[in-house]
Amino acid sequence: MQTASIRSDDVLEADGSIKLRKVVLADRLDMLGMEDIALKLTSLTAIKPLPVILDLRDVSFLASIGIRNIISSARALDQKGGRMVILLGNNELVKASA
Amino acid sequence: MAPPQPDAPTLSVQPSPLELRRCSEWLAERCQEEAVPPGPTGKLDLCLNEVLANLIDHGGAADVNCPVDLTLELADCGDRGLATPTIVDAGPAFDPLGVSRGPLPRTLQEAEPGGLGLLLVHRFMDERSYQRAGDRNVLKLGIYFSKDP
Repeated sequence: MQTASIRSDDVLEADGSIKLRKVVLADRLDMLGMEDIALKLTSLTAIKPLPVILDLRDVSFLASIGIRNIISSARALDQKGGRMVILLGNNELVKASA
Repeated sequence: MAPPQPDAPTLSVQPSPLELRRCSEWLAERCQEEAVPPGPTGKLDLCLNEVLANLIDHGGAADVNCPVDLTLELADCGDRGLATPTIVDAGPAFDPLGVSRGPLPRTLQEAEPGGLGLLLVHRFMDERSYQRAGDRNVLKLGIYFSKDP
């Protein structure tokens, strides 16, 4: 059973500053999975006021603890002046959970 | 509430995060054996996960260090099947179905990051019942599924 994973890609401005950040979560966002990635998710999405795309299309299982972490990050980002867009794709279970 | 059938598949797990994965694997195998479609299997997996996570976080089951017993029953309801997991724990009396839920948030700022697990159980399960039986909590859930492929 695959646990959660997280990776990110930044789109940069000409001066090297970050224009857009894409964060991709994958596999199983349950209690154990979130223990593995929660800190990195927060550091990538909730520290700087950036436009963030959070891609959940490869998530196979989204438990409430995962939703909770995403909401917390989105709220923190919003308070800093950033914005988060979430990609859900065609994963019916994840769409229904979210 | 009728007790689970004696021959129904049963699993005992310790209330710990690591055991959630074992529970999910057990459930997936049982559902595959019984030809429960992937959609309802995923919803059962999610709801069992939420109930067990709730027991770990709030139910006190971890404190008493007693296993949580899971049973999965399958019933034939004509053109549909009914999958019924039962979760039994020895924690303090707690009816998760009796927890009141507020209205759904309309904005990010209204969204409270908590209480979502039981909301998912209410959303995904067609049948839900709870009773205190002796010193145990007995939670029974149910989801109908089409038997057509």
